[in-house]
Amino acid sequence: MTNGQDNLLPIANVGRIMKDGLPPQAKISKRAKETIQECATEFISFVTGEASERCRRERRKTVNGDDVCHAMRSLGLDHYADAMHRYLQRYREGEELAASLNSSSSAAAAAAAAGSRGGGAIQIDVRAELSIFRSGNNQGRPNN
Amino acid sequence: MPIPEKDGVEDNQEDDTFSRLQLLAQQRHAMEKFWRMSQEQIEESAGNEELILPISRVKNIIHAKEGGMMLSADTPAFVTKLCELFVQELILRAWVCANSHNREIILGTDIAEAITTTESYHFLANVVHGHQALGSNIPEIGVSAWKRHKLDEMTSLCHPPQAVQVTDLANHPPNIPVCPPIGQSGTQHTTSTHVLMMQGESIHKASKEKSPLKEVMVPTNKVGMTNSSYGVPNGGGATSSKVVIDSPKGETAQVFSSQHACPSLEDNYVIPIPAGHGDSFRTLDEANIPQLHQEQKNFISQDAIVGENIPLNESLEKSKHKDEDLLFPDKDLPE
Repeated sequence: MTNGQDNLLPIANVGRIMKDGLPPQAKISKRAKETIQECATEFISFVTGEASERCRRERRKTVNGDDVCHAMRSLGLDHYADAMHRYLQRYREGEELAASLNSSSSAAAAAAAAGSRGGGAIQIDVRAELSIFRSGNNQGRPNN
Repeated sequence: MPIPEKDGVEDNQEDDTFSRLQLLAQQRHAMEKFWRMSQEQIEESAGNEELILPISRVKNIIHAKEGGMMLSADTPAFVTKLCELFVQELILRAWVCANSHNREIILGTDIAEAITTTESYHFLANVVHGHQALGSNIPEIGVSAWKRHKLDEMTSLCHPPQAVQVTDLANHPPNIPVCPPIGQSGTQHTTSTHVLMMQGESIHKASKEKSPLKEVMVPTNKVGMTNSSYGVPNGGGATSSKVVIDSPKGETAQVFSSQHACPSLEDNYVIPIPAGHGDSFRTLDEANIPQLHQEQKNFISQDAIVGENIPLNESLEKSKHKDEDLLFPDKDLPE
């Protein structure tokens, strides 16, 4: 499973998410927090493992959001798949909107914006186009 | 969510079945509400909301298991959001379980129950089982804390024995002349050294504070012992007669044990064993004669101290002289 505390989610952040989802009078014992901390870590490993296995079967090398959605459906987590599928659509709509807003600016500004949207990492245009192209194909496959 | 058939078969009692069905119905209702709210939240946020969990940590977890796979740019944030939904859904199920037990605090057992009653969460059964095994270590921490508390109590008990030892120093001179019959050959040297040190200190204090008691000590040793132990001459005299009648040695030992802690008992065992008396039991009658002479010398030296009112320095010299006299019986042992 986990290789130590470095690969566990911070228990303070996990506790905050728990509080947001419960009524104000609810209390959570320390052991319950620790249990959910480990379950969340196992959940991430389990779902991404299933998603990467799907990529290997299809001879692809990059795991994306669609693979994770399909993994959740195969694991019986349909509610998660429906919610996150919609999340992914809204996420990409946001990216397209940002891209269209930046289309009038210079190429350097567009690259910087792409870097900020990517979480601080500068991406190559070719790779971005490939990912969009593949995501388009992936979107088409469920319809078939 | 499909109801687990095995659970239905296992629970033959109607009450258990009814409560389980009620729990599942409550969970289903809570989950439907949760997912509706989640969908609405996703529609409103447009995917730009801030995530509570750190994405870098989620990346580490993904790569810990799937180090070779590459991730698209959106996957870490996607999985982070997914994990947040999982935590909220699981804690909400646990909250329903806690309420079914009339509790408002969610325990580890509620998490385990939520996972057990949800078919799609069975892959987490090993995690919960492992966490319960880890939970068995928690009482050990409590035990160590209890031990620390006991150690603190023991530390607090260390002070009275020291005071007791000081009291024993004051009570030491009466014990020497009594000479109880019990003796041990193996520890004669250590006891003799201890007795000599105790005697020197006690004589020094007695010469300072209790000079009239010395005069009383000359005719009867037992009376002197009782006076020094109780501090009141008249009362001491009365109790001395009782002590003599009712096995004085045993009562004196009991008095020490009742008043003080265990270290005083150890002192009682060590002090009444002078080396000279041990010789009297093992050697022939011829050896007893020199010992008697030495005892007479001790009494003579005490009379000299009391009668002449010698200053402190000279009294110390006299105590050294006594020490030399007491060292003499040790030399007889090899013979």
